[in-house]
Amino acid sequence: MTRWPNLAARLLSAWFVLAGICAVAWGAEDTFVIKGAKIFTSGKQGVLTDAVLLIENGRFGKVIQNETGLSVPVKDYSGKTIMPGIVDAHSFVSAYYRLLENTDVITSDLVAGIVFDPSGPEAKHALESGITTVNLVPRSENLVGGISSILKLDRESRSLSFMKKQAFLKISFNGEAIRSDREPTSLMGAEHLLSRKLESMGVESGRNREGIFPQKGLRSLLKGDLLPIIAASDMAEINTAIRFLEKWRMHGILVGGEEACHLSLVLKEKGIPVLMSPILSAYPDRLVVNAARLVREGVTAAFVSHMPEADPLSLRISAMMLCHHGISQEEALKTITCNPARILGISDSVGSIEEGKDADFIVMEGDPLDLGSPIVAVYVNGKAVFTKGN
Amino acid sequence: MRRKLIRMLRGRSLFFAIFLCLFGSISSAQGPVVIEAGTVLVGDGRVMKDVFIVIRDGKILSIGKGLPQGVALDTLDFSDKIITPGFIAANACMDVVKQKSEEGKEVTPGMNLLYAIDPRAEDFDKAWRSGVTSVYLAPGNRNIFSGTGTILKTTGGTLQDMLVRNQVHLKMVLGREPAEGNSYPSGRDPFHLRNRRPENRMGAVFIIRYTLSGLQNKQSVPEEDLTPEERMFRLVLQGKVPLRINARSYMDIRTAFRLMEEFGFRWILEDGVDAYRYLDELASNDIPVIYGPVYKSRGREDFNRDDDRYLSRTPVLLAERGIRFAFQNNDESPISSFREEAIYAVRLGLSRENALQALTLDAARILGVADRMGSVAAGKDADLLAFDGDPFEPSSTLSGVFIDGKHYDPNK
Repeated sequence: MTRWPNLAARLLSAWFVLAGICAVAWGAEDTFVIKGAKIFTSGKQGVLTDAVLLIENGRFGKVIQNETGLSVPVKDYSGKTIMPGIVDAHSFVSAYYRLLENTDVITSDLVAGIVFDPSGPEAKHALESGITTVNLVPRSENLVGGISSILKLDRESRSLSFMKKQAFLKISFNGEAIRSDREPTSLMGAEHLLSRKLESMGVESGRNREGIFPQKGLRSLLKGDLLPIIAASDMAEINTAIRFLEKWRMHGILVGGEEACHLSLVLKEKGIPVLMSPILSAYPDRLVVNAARLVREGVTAAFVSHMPEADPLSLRISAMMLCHHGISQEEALKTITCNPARILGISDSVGSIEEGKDADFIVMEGDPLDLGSPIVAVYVNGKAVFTKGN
Repeated sequence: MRRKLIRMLRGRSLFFAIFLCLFGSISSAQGPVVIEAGTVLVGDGRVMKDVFIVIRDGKILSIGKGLPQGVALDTLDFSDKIITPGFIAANACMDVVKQKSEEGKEVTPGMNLLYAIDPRAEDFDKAWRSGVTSVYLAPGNRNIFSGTGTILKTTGGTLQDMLVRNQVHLKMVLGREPAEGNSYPSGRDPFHLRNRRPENRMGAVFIIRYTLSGLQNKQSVPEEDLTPEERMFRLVLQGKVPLRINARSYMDIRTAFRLMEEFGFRWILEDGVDAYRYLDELASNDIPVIYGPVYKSRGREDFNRDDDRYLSRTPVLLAERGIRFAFQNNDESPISSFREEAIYAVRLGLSRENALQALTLDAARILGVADRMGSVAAGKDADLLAFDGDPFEPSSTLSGVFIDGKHYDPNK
C-alpha cells in the first residue's frame, strides 16, 4: 500500500522530464551558434573577430572559441558583420495619427502602446532597417501628451510584446505645443500651466474637478513612478525644461536638443540625457557639429528617428556622420544601440551583445556605419524576423 | 634630527611650490586690470580727469589718481578716451523671446520671461555693441497684469552668467492692448481663447479694481494660505514690489493716479507718451518715468494730442521738474538706438549730464539696482564704455566695452 504514492510520484516526475525534453526540442529554433562574423558588441568586449556566439532560448550566451562538441545548429555568417538591434527611443512608428488627442492640452492618462499596429507597413519598414526596440511616445503637439510604451518590433507574435507598457510621461515645451488659439500661447505660459496643474494635484484628492481626465499620469509623475521625457529644441526650451526638472526635483530626459550643446556643462552636471533628432538636410538647425560636440563633452546622448517624420535609415546616417566629426566608430555606434537602451532604463535586456541579454541583432554585409552595407538579416529574441530575399 | 628637519622642509617646499604655481595661474587669469582713463563721466554728473580705474573679479576695486603699489598690473591705455558707465535699458524691446505674452488669461502675475529668453539671440550682440550693457525684459502688453520682469547683462551666453535680478517689477498694462481681439462669444467657438474680459479700457479698470480689492479683503489671511499670485499682489500692495504701469495716453495715466490713490501702491510710469500733461502730479508724487523713443513720431489715433512738439521735448520737461526718467525703445526702434535717443534729446535742449544720468544712474535707480551698477564707483560692476569723443556727439565712436570687467571690442 505504501508503494502507490511513491510510484505515482515517479510517474509524475518521468512525465515532467519527458515534457522538458520536448520543450527543449521545440525551442531549438532559437538556440543556435553563429560563427565567422565580425561582431560589434557595443558592450565591454568591444569588437570581436572570429568569435563563436552562442544563442540560447532567445538570449545571448557565452562567446566561445570553438563550436565543436555542441549539438546545436550552426549558422555560418563568414564575411558578415553583426551589430546589436537598434533601439529607437522616440518614435511614432505605425501609430502616428493615433498618438495625438487634440481636445485637451494636458492628456496624461493616454497610453501610447495601445494604438500601435504591429502588422503595419511602417513597423515592417523599421524592422527591416534594423530597429528592434522602440519607445512609442505620444506626439509633441500637447503640453502633456500621455504615457509612452517600450515595445519590441516582433512581427512573429500575434499580441504586442511590451517591455514596459507605461514607461515615460511625454511633456512638450516644443514650438508645436504652443498655439495662438488656446492656452498656452507662450513658452513661459506652458511651464506655468504645467506647474500649476502639478501643484493642484498635490492639494486635490481623488477626481480632478476640472475636465474629464483624472490625470493619472501626472499623479504618477509626482510620485516618481513615471519619469518625464521632455521635448525641447532651442536654448529657451531647454532652459525651461532644466528649470522645470530642477523645480520639481525630477530626473528626466530631453528629446530634440538641437541647441543642447551650448548647455552641455549644465546637462552633464545634472545628469540629464539628450535624445537627439536625426540629422537631415531638410532641417538646417540640426547640425552634426552640435551633435558631435554634445557627445564629445560627455553628455549621455542618443539619436532617435521620430519615425515616420524621418526614415529609419536616418539613425545609421546620423551615427555615421558623427564619425566625420571626430567621434570614434564605436562611440558613434553606441548612440543608436546601448546609449538609448541605458537612457530608457532597459539596458539589462537590450542595447548590446552581452551574455544574458535578448538576442536582438542585425547581420550586415559590411561595416555597420557604412550605408553601402545592406542588412542581410534581423533577429529579435533569437528569431529571424527578416531575411534578405524572403 | 637636522636631516629630518631638512627632509620635512623639502617636502613642504615642494608642496609650497605647487601651491604657488596653482595660485599664480589663478591670479594671472583673474588678476586686477587697470584702465588709465583720460576723462571719466561718473554718471551722477561729476567728471574726473586722468584717473586709474582698477578692476578685479568683474568689480571696480578703486578709482583715483594713484595706483596701488607693489602689485603687477595689466594696464590698458585709454588716456585719450572718455569713459562712461554702461547704458542701462530700463525697458527693452528685443527679439529674444518667441512669444512675449501668455494670452489665455488677463491676470497672470506669475509669469516670468527669464527661462523663455534665448541667451544667444542676435539682439544681445546688437545691444552691447551699441553700449547697452544691461537690459530689463518683461512680458508683453496683451494682459492686464502680464508678469514680472528680469534684468540681464547683454553678454555671457548662458542665463546663469547674464542674470542680474529676477522678478523686479510687476507689469500692469492700461490702455487698449490687453483688450484687443477680445469679444463676446457671438457666432464663434464658445471655448475660444478670446471670449474673455476686458473688451475695452473700462473693463480693464474693473478687473484691476476687482483683483486688488479682493486682495485687500484678504489682509488677515496668513501668507502660506495664499496662492503665489496672491502673494505677488500682497507684495505690491505692501509697496515691496513696485508696479510698472504701461500707460500711454493721458486717460490711462489719469487712471493710474486714481488707482494709486485708491490702493496706495508704488508705481513707475512706462512708455509715458503723454507724461508731459501730468508733470505736476508726477513730480509731487515722485513717480519715475520711462520714455521713448524720442525721435520717432508716435502717431496713433487714441492720442488726442494737441502739439507734437511736446512729445519730443518730454525729456527736457521732465528734467526741468526734477522727475527721474530713463529712456526706452519700442517694437519700432532697435535696441541699438539708446544713444541716438539721448543725442536727439540733447539736441532738443536736455543737458548732457541729465542725458547720461538718464541712460545710466537713473535707469539703475528706477530698476532698484543702483547699488550694483549705473555709475563708475568703487564696489560697483565694471560695466564701462570708452568713447573716442563726447558720447553725445554723433561723430564720436564707441571703441571699447567692459561688461563685468571683461573687455570687448565693438568694432570687431
